[in-house]
Amino acid sequence: MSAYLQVEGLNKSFGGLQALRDCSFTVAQGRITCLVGPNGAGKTTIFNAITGFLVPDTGHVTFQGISLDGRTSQQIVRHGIARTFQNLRLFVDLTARANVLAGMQDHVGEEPFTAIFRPFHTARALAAKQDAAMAVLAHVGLAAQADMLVRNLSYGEQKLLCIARILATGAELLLLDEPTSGLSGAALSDVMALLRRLQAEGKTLLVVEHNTRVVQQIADDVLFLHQGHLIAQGAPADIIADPKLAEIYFGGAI
Amino acid sequence: MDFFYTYIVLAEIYVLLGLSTNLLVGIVGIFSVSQAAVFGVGAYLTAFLVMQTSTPFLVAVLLSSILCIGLNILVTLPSLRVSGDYFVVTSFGIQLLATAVFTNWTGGTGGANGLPGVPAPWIAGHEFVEPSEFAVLATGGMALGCIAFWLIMRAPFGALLRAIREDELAVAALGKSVLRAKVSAAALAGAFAGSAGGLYASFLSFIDPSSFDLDASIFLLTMVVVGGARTLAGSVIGPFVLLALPQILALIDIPSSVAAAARQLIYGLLLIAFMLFRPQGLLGEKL
Amino acid sequence: MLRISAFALAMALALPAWAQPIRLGAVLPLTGPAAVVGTQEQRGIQFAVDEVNAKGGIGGHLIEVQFEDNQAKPDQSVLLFNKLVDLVKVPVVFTGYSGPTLAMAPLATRKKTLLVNGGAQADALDKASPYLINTIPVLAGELEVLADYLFGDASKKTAAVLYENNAAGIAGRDDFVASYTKAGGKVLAQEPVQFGDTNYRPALLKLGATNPDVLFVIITSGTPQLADQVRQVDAKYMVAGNTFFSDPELIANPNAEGFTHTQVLINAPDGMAAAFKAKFGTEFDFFPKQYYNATTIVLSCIEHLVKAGKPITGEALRTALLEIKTFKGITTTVFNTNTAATQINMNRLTNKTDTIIKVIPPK
Repeated sequence: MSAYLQVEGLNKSFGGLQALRDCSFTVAQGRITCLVGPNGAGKTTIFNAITGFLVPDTGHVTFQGISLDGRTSQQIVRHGIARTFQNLRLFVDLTARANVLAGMQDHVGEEPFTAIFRPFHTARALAAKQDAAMAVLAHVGLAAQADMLVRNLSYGEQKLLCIARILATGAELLLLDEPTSGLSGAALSDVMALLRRLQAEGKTLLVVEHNTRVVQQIADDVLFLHQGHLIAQGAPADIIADPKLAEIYFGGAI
Repeated sequence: MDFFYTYIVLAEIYVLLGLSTNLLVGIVGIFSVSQAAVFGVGAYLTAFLVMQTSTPFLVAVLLSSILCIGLNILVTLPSLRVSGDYFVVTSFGIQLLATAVFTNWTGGTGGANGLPGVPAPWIAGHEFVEPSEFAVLATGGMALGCIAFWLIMRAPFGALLRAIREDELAVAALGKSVLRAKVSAAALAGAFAGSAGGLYASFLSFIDPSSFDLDASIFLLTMVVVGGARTLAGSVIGPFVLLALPQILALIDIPSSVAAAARQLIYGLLLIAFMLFRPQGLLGEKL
Repeated sequence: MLRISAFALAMALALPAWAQPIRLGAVLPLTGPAAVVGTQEQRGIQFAVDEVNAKGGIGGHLIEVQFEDNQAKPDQSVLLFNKLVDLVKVPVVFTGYSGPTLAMAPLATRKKTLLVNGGAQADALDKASPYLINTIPVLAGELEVLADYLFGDASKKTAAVLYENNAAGIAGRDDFVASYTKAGGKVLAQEPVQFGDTNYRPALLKLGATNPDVLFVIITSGTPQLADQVRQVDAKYMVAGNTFFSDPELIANPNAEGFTHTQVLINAPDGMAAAFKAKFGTEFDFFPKQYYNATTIVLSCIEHLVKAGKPITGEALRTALLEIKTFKGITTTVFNTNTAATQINMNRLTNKTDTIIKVIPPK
């Protein structure tokens, strides 16, 4: 049986820069896998390659036995993979609820014909989706902020909303690009608690993470990427304890 | 009263154009400066159909709208490849191209001399020739446009368009087709502009390229900005205010030799002051 | 109080009818690119009206003209025409530019309001409305005279055409080609130039290559530059044009020697031109003269009605105009139809003066 997510031999170069170099790894279902490595290791490039935002020069991505090669980002979401962005990319002039609604699939009236010629059908379907959107917001702890404009939310709330928005797509595999960066205290523990809860609900998480303490606390598996190549894979304690990796990670600081 | 009804009819036709421009520029964020070109094609096609082929008025307007749907999709397509500021240049080129065709295709458009004698609409044995009668048609057309605009803005389609204006990439990451949404919006904007063109040609009975040039496109943008971007109310109030303004300024008593120029100056100053103190327009959101 | 009011009322009623001014309307481009011409037309109208008012008006009525700015746009023209007819109740609306005039023409018919054009020469104006009075011949009429002269009197059997790529230019080209071909001539080539472009050499070289007897030119600006460039390419053909050649700058250009053209001529008395210049600070040129003439025609029709004690309506004015038929103002203008026939001159530029070589009287 093949792995849940399998990445095989990805290569990608931008001009002279080799961003991914024969990069291969697998992600197991139902686990939290952290992708670590120094800046420029190719972590976000991997996300882009998996989600169809970038076509690798060579290599394959397989999800639940289905090849994702050549699929558009739109098709990949339909297969059950969704991602967040390091710089959030929320719709800041819309409400929190509208952001979640935008993540939901199969809306009635998401094209003009139905919207205009079947207005009641559209309105009824939308009312149902509104309830579902509220449920998602409640799940991440943002029910009270549902009708606030995103630009007025705190940074921690925005981080939670990013996760809510991709949960709304119904994806099973969530690719989170630095979900805890810039957070501390209560906001940080909120996000970490949410990640564990999602895992308990059966989601699979692939997380780009810089904070070693967070990695230690949430990761089941750690993938260590360096110069676009996977150089180590294992349990968090093993990876963090490896002095050679620490040297690469901290650039020889210790 | 004809003066009043003429004002109403023209303003209502411009409301349809305002909806078209607001949809593309305000809501989706496709900064088109060629909406007057599409408007012109609708006007010329309706004129051609009713004059040369005796097509009934409503059918002619419908066919014009359909052609403009296709045309607007075509002229908006570059916005999928080039973004923002660059599209303005593309759109500018499309506008100049259209003006060149309107002016030089003497056989089809009457060229710069214009096309006189477009007959008034006949519907069910009644001729809508007086401004008061035509106002019924224009009001109907405007109402249909406003209802359609209102319905899409409250449907998920409207939300999708707003999301696209903010961040196309994020929309794509949520599994939505940006291409299809933009094409749909362009189609709708084309239908609005095309039907406005049909009404315009039939109401004035005469059309020439001066109504569909770059100035006209800029005027449409001004209407949307003054009225208010991204809202239905803004699209409606903008044309009514901007068409009335010169008439209100005409009430100011200025010695006649400089009156027109002075009024033009006041008009310009009002627009500048307006943008400084109320950038979101009368009833809209900030662009 | 009551008595005073009653007295005031009595006074008001007792005021003779002649104190009421007669209001006329004008819809002209007063701002925008076309305003250069529109304001000249406005001055021509104002000049004629002031002259009459200085003499005490017509039968005691002063004349007032309400000017409206249409920016040469058809939709504004329709709006403003309705404003003048509805709110100000004018019997006459002066207009310029063919597009706006064609847009207002159906309204003139429906409202029985006289629409008076003294400047636009598009051929479609001829039959646009029975209520549209053109006090200047349409372009086709003027160019027919030119074509006949060139083929007949001047024996020029082949022609090339240089035209401005806009309404006036394209219409002029078509009219000339039609009349010249009808007269028996052969048109060898045609070349467009853009308005405002003053480099005519490429076009002149192409046209010159066909070796025509005469080059017919219809451009509204840049004629002095054209004259220089015709000299530079050492052209052998005659250069012919229409009224647009009556440009003082062109006449003063030695390179324009021999240029031949038609002219819808109005010779203003010297004193009048000086008075105009003193009043407005600009020359009494083609457009002010034409609109002065148009206005005096309308005013004499009004005078006719006032004398006869008839109400001044658009319909009555139209009837009066076609009855009077011949107006001997600063030029003789004859209305066999609603488009005037006026004297057309053939002129030639010689020794920096514009000399009349033949006079063609109104038909």
